[in-house]
Amino acid sequence: MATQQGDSGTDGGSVRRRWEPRIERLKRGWDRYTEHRIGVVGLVILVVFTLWSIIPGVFAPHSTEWIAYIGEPPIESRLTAEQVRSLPHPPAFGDPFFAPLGTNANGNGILSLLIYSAKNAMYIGLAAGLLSSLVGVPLGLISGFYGDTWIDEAIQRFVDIMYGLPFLPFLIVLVAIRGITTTNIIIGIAVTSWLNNCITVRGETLSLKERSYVESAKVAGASDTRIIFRHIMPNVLPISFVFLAQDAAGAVIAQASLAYLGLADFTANSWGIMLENIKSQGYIFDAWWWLLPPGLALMLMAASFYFIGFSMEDVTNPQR
Amino acid sequence: MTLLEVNDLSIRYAIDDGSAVHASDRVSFSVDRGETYGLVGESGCGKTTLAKSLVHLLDDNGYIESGNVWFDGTLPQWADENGDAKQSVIDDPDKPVREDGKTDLAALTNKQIRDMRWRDIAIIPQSAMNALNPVYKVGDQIVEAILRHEPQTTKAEAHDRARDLLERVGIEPDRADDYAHQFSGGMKQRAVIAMAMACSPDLLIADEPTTALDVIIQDRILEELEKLQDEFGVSILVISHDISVMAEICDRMAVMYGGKVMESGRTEDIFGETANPYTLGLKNSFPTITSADQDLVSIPGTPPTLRDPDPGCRFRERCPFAIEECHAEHPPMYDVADAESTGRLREATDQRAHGSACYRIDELEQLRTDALNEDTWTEQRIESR
Amino acid sequence: MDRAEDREPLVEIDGLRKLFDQSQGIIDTVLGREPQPVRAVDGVSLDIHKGDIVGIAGESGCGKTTLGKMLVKLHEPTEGAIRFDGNDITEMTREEEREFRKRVQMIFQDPFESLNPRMTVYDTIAEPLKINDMVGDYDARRDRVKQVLEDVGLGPAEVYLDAFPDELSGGERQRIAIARALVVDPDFIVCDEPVSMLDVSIRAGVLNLMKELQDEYDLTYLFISHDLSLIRYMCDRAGIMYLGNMVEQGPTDDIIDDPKHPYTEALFDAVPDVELGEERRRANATGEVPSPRNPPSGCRYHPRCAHIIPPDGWDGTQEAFRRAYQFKLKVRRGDLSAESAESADIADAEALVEHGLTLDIPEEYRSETEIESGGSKVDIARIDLPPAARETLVDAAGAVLDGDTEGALATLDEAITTPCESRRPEPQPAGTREVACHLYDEPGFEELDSSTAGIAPAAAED
Repeated sequence: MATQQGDSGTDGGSVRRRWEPRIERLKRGWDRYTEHRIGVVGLVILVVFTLWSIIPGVFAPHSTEWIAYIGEPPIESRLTAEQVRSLPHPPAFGDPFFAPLGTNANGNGILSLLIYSAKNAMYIGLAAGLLSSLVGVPLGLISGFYGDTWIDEAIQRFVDIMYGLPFLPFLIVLVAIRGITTTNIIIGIAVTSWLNNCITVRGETLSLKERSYVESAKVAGASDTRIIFRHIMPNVLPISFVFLAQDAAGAVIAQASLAYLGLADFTANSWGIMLENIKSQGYIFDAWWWLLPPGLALMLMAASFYFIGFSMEDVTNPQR
Repeated sequence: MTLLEVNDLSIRYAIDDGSAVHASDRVSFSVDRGETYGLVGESGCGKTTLAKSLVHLLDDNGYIESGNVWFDGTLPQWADENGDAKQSVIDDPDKPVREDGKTDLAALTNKQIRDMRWRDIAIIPQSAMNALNPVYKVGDQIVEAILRHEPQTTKAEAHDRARDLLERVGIEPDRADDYAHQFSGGMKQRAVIAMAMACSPDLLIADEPTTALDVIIQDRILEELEKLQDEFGVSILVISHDISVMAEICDRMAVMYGGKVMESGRTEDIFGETANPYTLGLKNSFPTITSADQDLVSIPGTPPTLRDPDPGCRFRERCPFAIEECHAEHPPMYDVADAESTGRLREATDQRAHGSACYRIDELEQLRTDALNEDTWTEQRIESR
Repeated sequence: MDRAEDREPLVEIDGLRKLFDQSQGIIDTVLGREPQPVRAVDGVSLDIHKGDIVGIAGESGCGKTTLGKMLVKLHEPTEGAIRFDGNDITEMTREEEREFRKRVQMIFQDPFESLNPRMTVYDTIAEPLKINDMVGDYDARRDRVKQVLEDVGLGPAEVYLDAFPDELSGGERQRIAIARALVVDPDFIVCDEPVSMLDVSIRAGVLNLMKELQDEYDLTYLFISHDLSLIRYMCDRAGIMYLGNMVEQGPTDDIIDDPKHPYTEALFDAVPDVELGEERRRANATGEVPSPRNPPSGCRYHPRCAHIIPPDGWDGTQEAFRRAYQFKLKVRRGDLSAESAESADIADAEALVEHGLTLDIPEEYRSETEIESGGSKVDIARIDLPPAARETLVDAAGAVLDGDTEGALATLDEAITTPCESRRPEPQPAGTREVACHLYDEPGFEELDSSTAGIAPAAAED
């Protein structure tokens, strides 16, 4: 029909005029975001980690295969007994080798490992956070919108059952069946983390659907889908940003904890595995340069997710 | 006799960006003993802030910028056996007590004012429905109020008094053992009034006492307030946006707009001899039940924001009678009777007399005639945003 | 005079009922308690004629908003029919419903809630157009939105189009809500307390705008409000609701100048007025609105009514009967019991009767003894009770003092009866209007009414 064509904007002027206010709004949103100091700090941290994940080679002094005293692969010589005894080596700046955060017991540079591991953490955080939002938010919306019907009842009982699921044993069984891969660990984390998301969004939806603008949309003839996605969802987005951030941070830490327990894909590089190694090799009290960086990196990444989430909540919330 | 005398009271709310909301700006009025005084105005005119500030119940970012609140009564420890301020306290320059024994409430600390709340000044809050604690019996809440403020009372006496108070406001005394949720809306309101009267205060501050009530119940509560006043001689300061309720119960009132008092005086004068463009506009803009054919005219524009307002008259942007002077400075209160008889402006000296903050009350007759004409209000160009 | 009768009604409401099932708690289910639905609207019939502004007034909880929401299909009626332009709106096909949505709109009470805070003014107003595929392309839509904005007095429209609701004042928001309702060019708009959240100085502008738009857009309004002076200002016809029932309906001026139903009378007496001078009469009604979950039998208003009808053969005054009836109600509610008598120091039956015969009404309607005692007793000698009734009351009071409330109630139920309690009043034509009250259904009155009702009062008015 004619309207359909009209909607797609046949002349450029109309399209420009349609989008202008939106771009203007984005600009205003950015201005408001930058008013939050912690939001900006979070963003800076996240940008650094993102760059580390995309182009680690630019930042890392060595590759992850680099070994102290010997250098980059191909590895042709072996370490002398003296050299082995000096590992893990504290930070060294050129003498006998360059490793600003020292090395681990195998002679790999901590800084390089740290930088190369960022990718893994980013992947797990974003994937688990997005996955749990993608499951939790729509289910919460549907459950809330059809509150007190069988749909709501079914979703809520399912959530109750999932809440009863013990996280660790479940994950151990999951990886036992499907193998220890990063993807499986993400699934394991997301399976439990969407629950809070769903329940909070449902509660919010229950109250939002009583607002008179939702009734007004019904009177105008809006379909349920339109009401859910145009009128209710934009108003639950602020809290779902917070949950996305929380879930992302939670996933990064959960993965590290799992790795610490030995549940990790040890072919990958990750901060959790770095921590697991220092434990299993017994250097916790001896090699601070090995212990602190992955711990701090984990903390900073989780914090940056939180900072960004809270700032986004404020930016997207019109009532401030 | 004057019970409460508010002089040049200015209240501000601090805002993060360093500006301030001038919620009330150099407001003066006085309440006599045994009278009902009304503060009437639209939302955001500062009436509730003003009332809260009298007893230091402002929000955290609100503060009294300047002015005095002279109240005829004083702290228990400053009073002699008659309840009047001791001479030694009056003579003490550090204590905010005036020669006639009035205490400046604005200068008291929060701890000091707590001793005066309820005992001397009681409050019926805006949401009286929520003022009752759901987990205590209604009677016990009144007893607690009595015991806290009059520790010498025995428990049995307090209980008797609570039941007596409930009965006086029209609640069966044995309902004292009920919880708030067992009360209907009107009964809750009555119970809150009984609670406010627990320590027989001199002043009752009622913030929108009937707004949440249905009209028949409102009617009964208004009757109840009138009866209480006759019985106890308590002064009532009523805050409301409902002009018809105010017209009915108030002896005198102040019409507030944008944090300023625009007109004040006896209720008959305000409605019968209206002398301010804002009040004239208000009168035009609400329907009455008694007249069949009326033409309502609204005041164009919207109320001003009170963030760092400029010095001009707060109403001038919506006022069809605004002149050059109005932009320079907000007008002082002029004496209306004087202006009418002599045709000259003289600043009001008596807070009780009919006063109006308008530079043009020397041409009052003209204003009143023009205000009745709809075109006066619609023809001016208003910046709506 | 009643021009309305000559025209086809636009909306016909017939025996409309809406019961809200309150979901039961587990305890109720275990104890096998019957669910008590809230009877929000309980048998309302009303015709709305094209071009009229019909007001619905009543206190909170009387069902006026539920009625309005049923008219725009936000609630489905439990029983009864609503016909819009001849079609039953409860049984519409999808296509018919689409058409209906374009012709019927609603304006909500709170402009701070009825606009989506995340949608710009343009998006808000254009939404009904988009949903109903009404106006061609983006540019045409934008022009239409601008035009409506100018119509509701928000010009120049460009200033507002991209604004969000939180940048606007209450008055501007409500104008935008009106624009949203108008944009589809509807025939009928339900207005639910459209100005109650607005400041007084702004209200008149919105009300006048609504009146102007009525002419311009050829609209019919249902105007719901608790504020009777607004109803008087706005409406040609009005209906007064009480506990889900329409107690009186007819031309607004007639209802207000000469209320026929005792509830209407009390309602108007209770409205304060700025007119100075003479003392206003207070509302002569006892108690408060009972719960709509368990409304009184017969006439919903009878427990509070000042004009409750004594049974045939009652020798005393009507006032005496009202007091005797209140006595019965107090026993039934448990307000009069052995314990309460004890705590009020009442020892003998006579004293309890004197206590129970009091009325909880404004002072001007009370007896001298009541005023002196602060409303706690009456002088039975001064009340014109028939001797038999007096004996019944004393007997019942004696039973109450003995703790036998059931026995007391049985005695009272037999002697103190009223048609208001036993029969539900049907809306009766009375003059220019319909009144649901037994006072107006004496046989003689009915006969006179059907033939001459339309003429007689009109002549009187001229």
